[in-house]
Amino acid sequence: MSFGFSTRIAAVLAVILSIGLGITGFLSVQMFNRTLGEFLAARFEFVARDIKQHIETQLDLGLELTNIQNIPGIMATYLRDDPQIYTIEVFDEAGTVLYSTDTSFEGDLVAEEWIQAWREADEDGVWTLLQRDAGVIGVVLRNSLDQNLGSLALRYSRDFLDKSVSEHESRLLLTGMLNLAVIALLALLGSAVIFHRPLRDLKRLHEAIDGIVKRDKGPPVEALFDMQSPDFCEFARVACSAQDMLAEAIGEIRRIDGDQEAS
Amino acid sequence: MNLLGGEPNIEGSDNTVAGRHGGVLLQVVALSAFLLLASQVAFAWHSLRGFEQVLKPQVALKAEAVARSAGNLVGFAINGLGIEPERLVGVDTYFREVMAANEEVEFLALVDEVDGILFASGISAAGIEGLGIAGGVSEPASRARSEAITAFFPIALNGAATAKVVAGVSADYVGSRLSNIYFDVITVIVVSWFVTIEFIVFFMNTQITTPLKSISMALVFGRNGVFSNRLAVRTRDEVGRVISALNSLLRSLQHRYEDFSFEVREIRNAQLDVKVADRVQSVRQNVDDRFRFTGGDDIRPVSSIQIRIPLFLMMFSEELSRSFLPLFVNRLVPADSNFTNEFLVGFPITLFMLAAATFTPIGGAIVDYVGSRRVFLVGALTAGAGYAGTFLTAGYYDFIFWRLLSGIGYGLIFIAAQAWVMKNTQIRRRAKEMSVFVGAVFVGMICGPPIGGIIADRLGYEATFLLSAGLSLISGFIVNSTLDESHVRRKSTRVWFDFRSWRILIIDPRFTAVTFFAAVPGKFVATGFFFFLVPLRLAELGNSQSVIGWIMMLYGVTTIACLPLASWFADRTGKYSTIVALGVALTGLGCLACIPAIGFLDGTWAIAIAILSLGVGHALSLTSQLAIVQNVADSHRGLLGQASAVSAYRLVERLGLMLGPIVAAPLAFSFGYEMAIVGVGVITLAFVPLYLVTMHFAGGVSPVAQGGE
Repeated sequence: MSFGFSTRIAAVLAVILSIGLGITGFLSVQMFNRTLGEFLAARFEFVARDIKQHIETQLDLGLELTNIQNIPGIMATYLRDDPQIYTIEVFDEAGTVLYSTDTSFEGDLVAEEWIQAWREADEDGVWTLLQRDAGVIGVVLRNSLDQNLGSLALRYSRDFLDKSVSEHESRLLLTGMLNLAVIALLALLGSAVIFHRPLRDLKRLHEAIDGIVKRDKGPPVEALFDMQSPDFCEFARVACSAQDMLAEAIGEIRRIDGDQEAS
Repeated sequence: MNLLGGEPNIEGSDNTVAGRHGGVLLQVVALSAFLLLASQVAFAWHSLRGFEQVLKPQVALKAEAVARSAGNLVGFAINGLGIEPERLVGVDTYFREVMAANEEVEFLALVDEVDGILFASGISAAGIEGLGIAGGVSEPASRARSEAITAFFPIALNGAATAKVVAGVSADYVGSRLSNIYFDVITVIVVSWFVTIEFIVFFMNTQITTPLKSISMALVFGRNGVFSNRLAVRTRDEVGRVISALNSLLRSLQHRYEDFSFEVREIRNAQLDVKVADRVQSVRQNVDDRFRFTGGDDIRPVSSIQIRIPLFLMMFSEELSRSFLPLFVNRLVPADSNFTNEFLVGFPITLFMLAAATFTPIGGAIVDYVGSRRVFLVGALTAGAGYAGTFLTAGYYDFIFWRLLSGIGYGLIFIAAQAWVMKNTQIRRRAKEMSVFVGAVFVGMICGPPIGGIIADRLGYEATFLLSAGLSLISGFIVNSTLDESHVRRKSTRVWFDFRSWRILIIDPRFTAVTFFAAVPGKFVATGFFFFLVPLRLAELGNSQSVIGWIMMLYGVTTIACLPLASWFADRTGKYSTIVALGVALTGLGCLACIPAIGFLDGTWAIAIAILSLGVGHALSLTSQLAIVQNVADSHRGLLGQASAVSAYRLVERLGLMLGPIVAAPLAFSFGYEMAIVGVGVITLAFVPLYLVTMHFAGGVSPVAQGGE
């Protein structure tokens, strides 16, 4: 009987605690995702800025963005050096791709969301986007007159990020499950210990109250239970005296009525 | 006739059933807190190991990218332009620029295989030798040692690699990034810990404390000869079986009495002899004099805790958007407006506060008339509609309307919850019961912004508002199903909060003292120091956003941790006004820790101490202030409702909220952040003597004696 109550309490505790643990896990995975994403972005931002510097040096020499011939070579070098980079592209203010490590893109328009992100670039001229299959980091290209000529965009693989996050999730899920099993066990043991005495007292209280209900003019109520609860003892004493008084009162009026009829 | 002589003190007496097992609640909460904390620490430790394993290689890759970039440039100068390595010009400057743009790069060097270091920035020759990187390299590579992560990029001269660019990232950098993550992890643990404990306390209250309380109440009634009630609490466990047995006993006594009454009536009706009828009646009278078996109500224990979860959910739902609201508004601001962007971003936030401030006194007056439950429900639905509307909002002006609705709901909920706590509070436990209200508000404040920020990151701003709307509905549902006001006697006449009420309050020196000289400076220091100056000063000291967030969290955590003790102490001593003075003084004194002359304190530590002091000070004063306001309302009973008095107090204290930044900003402009904090502290301290003098003239330091007691 007492096992049932403790189990119920332990089960609810385990559920609530697992929610707490779930919140910790959820927040932790998000934090991992954000931090690793920032680290990745910082690396690719460095690469993008490096290429931008090459391009802007030549713009400063008076070359047109459309006429810088070594851009594809520079971009190809960086693409070759880092296997996580998908493509590097340069697009003009109209969104037309001027140079790309994938030459099939040249002449195409970039996605509208790229142009939107480019227009909302931060003070340092950096913009970022997260697409389903790739991350994009862009840097604004400016000439010596500080005119915004377009942007360089670097698409990098999200595989590493997604895989790392997924592995982290799995690790935490496993740890969480183990934790939960331990929590459930300890909650069960803990509640069994905590509720042992109260449940014993409640059982006695239950028996004692039943005893009062069933008693007619039985023994003194203190003999019905051995609880050390002056509160209940006083209640039981008053309840028994109420029973007795009602019984006596009924007897009394019947006696009065009987006497009257007899006389 | 009140046979009980007051409501039974269930938890305070060791003689009651609940009292005997009152420690059970504490033990279960302690067990849960321990289990959660232990599992979270294990969880977090595991999580941090994952961070370390993944971050170090990423740092190495970044170092490689830097070395490659510098190597390409230097290689071009050597091979492309034909400049001898030792004759290169501007390499040091270039290295310094690269390092300035990439904070994680601690040093850069160009090392010749024959001559050793040619150019270096951020590291000495001895340092380079200490790294043990001598020897040629033919491919770009990186190496992690305990002291540094080093990346190499070889430069070929005449086909052979004779030099290399070395880029180093200090192990301290990874450590510092990880320490930021530790702070974030601590924040995460604290947030989830608070949320969990809130729910456990609510569960324990509904499943154990309330049923035990109802048993105790029945026993107390019985001890006083009252067997006319019935326990309305239903549970299907051992406690439920005791309740059922008690109900059987009560029913059995009531049936016996009904049988007895029936016989009395029968005998009296059949009896022609008046004397005999009188004797029978006299027997019945004896029974009625000692016991009561009829005309009782259902026993439904009420507790201030019942409002805690709904209030927490509402506060949480509002705080979810706290961290990104200005950014969200910024997206909606119309481009063609004549107003500045800053004004347009701030306007809906101000309007929200204005709506909340306006509807707090209005809600207070309505609560006195229709009860807390209905006002809370209306507030939750209104706020929920506001959040749902914000989710669907298409433009700036729609957004203003929906925020206005949310503000109205917020104001109504705030006062309804407070009124519920006040109505279900014993006079001698006012501060303790008020800590239920203050605690829920603070836990919501702590947990909402970090969780909201993450949800917004993941699901978008709009989805976070939708979640808030859902939580508002859940909160309203809980209030509707758990709050029982059938026992509350509502006012037969309306006591609206009007000019006369204001006059009554303003001429009461206790009210003037506690609102103008304690609540106003309390809010003044909260907004002026905590919300305005602390983030700016901490950023000025070079702390990261994580550290700033963590240090600021100390305020809420300290307040919540100290609230139970502070309110217990206040109730125990009854010296509410002295404790309020102490609290206000402590908040002011804390700011003085930032005096530059106190040289042994590092700037960040000084702020942390000031925040801890603010937390303890607010824990001391907040609940005692409310207890004083209730006592003031009690002393004007019939003329003024408690909710109305508290809503007036809330309205006045908002003056402090407004004054904080208004005063702190020019102080910061003139004297800097550090001295502005000191200035705010001094101004706060100046209110303490005003408060004490006014309280003294009010007729004694402790207003309890004058209150309702």
